[in-house]
Amino acid sequence: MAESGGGGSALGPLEAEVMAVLWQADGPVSVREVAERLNARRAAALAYTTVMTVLSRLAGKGILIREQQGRGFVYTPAVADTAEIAVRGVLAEFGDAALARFVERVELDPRLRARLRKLMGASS
Amino acid sequence: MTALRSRAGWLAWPLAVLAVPVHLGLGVLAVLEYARLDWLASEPYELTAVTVVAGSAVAAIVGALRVARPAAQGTRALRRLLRSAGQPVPASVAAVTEELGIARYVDVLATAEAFAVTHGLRRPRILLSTGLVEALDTAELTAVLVHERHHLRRRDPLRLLAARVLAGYGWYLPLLRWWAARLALRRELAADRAATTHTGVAAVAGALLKLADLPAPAAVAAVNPMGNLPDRIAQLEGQPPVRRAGLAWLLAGATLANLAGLSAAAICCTGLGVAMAGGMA
Repeated sequence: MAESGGGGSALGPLEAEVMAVLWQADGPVSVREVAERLNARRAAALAYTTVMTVLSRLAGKGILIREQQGRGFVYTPAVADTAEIAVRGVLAEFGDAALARFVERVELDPRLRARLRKLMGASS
Repeated sequence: MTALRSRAGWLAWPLAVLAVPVHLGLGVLAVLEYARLDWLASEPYELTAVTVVAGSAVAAIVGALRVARPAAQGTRALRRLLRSAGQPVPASVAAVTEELGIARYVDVLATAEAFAVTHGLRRPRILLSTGLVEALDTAELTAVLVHERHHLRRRDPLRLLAARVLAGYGWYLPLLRWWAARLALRRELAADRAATTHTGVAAVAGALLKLADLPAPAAVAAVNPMGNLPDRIAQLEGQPPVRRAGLAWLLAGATLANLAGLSAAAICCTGLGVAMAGGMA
């Protein structure tokens, strides 16, 4: 699915390298750790800020989950493989035009979540 | 009152089907008049009228294409995905789809992202992901499939796209966009009612909770924080639908003002066209 111009759903080369590092990691990793692991296998070292930019862009696309840890952020993959990234890209970019999706992904308000829980308990 | 509302909703389609060719025809007339107008001798209101009609027709075509193009791209992208990551329908799903009579219309995509969509304009199909199948129990899966079957039978992808292209065509008429959004919400609520009748409230609520409550991409969350979930949950609870009449009147006012301006320009354009035809004879 490495189609360019297919709507930006595919990863760029640097993004793919970063995702490879995150998929190999056991748990959440910091920007510094990602930069170290990337640079261990690269001829030309990447700047810390470059890695940080790529990570925050991936988090913005919903491919990574970003959490505060101490003074910095740590990242974990939100997707399991590139097919999933492609699916998300398609749904996010073209989602509402000609599709009837069961439900959009949203950050549910706690009150709505509580109401749904209550409905799940209701026998009908 | 409800009957009146739904009649007004049905009236929107023939009106639109009539209005679009008339508007486009006037747009062509306006462009032709541009070529014949004597710029120095013409009245300012004539120039304004011709510009408004020609400009609105061009803006409308651009607006419609801006909706139709991503829709076509999305459908193609989905088909490509299905070719690369499609997989045989698991037995647990096949048992449910056969019972619902939709086994021929369901595809399964191998991906962890949990989703279900109905897609395709002429021959709609349902697409499920393996992530969804793993996340839901049988009752919830049935609820999702009955919901999507309702979209499939009513050809909702076609209806939704037609309404959205129309709203894109008349993007300077705010009521059209509101109408398209209401139509989308009404289709979802109807599909939810079908699912509730078949499987009960608890399964629909469970599927909504499991599939909606996931971290959303920032871009999506910013535009529409809760989507249509508040209305759908209210329906499951048996509450009457939320009325937003105030907003509708406001949009209707803006729409009427724009339509009045456009009609005045169109009448002036038609008058000019008749005068020109008379001058040629």
